[in-house]
Amino acid sequence: VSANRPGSSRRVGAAAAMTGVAAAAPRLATGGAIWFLRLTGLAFAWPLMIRLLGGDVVAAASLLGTIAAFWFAGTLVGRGLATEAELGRRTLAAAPKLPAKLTGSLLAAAGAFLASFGGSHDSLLMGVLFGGLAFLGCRLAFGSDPKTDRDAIAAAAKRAGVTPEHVLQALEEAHRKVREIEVASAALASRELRGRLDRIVGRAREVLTELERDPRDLSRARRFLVTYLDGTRDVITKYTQQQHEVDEPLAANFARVLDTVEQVFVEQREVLRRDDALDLEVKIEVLETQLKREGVH
Amino acid sequence: MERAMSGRGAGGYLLLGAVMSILWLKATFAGVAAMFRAIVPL
Repeated sequence: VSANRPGSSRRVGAAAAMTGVAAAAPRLATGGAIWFLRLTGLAFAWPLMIRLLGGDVVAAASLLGTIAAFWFAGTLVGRGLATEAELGRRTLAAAPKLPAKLTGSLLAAAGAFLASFGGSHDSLLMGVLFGGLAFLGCRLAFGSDPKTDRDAIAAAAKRAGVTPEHVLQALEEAHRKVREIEVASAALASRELRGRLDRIVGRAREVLTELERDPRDLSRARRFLVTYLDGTRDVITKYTQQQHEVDEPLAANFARVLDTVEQVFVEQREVLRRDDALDLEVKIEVLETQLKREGVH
Repeated sequence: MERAMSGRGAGGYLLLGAVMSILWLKATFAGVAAMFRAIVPL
């Protein structure tokens, strides 16, 4: 069924493949870009010191500006690359309003201009030339910012019979909840539990990929989006708060809840693929009872 | 990552590195020269 659905794209399923080493690669590249820019700026601390010793306040202030500009350029470009990696895993998503990589590149260009015009007392033309070259280097190194594919979103929303804003908002909220589960699970002391949560987060993203492929399923997956993502996040948060004083039975209960959560997430994905809601309703009832019994929901 | 490994990405890093190296050298030598001029008036 899914292969014939309109709107399926080659990017679908990328989320499932992004685990382990593959998921670490964009983070490494992002970290590399951030520190490349920051260290480039920090290298100007040496000429800054010389200018301070020489008593040239204008040049010193300009070089301080260069260091600050490159520091924040690193932050912005890093944010842009992280957004790009995140959006690359998603089929339907709105790009952020602030083009972070472009803004970061402009800041780096301003930093280069300051180092030349103020830091070395070059001519204005020379300063602009250095700024332009730095900007070009940044654009080549980090690329342009991701753009929102408004046509794809509008087409998907039309198919689902809702507004594009509704689709984007529902998906954004779901992704935020999954990220919250990810953050909460990082505080777990047990490596085994963290591994399980990693898998659960992967499963949740697979469900979201299915939803992005066909937003008509949004209403059918409402319970998953509203109850289960929240429930899972709450159960993990509560457990991490008292994980050092929990007794054996509670730890075992938690492990069982995670089992059920994983199972329900897998089945939700399968249900969306099969367009079959009946089985899942029963499973969800079971999970709901279980969550209530453990006093989490 | 793909971009960093690609020719364009690597070229960008090289260009930025080269531009900033030149600026670092210029700023350093301009500073040293200014200091030298202050100490030894010609």
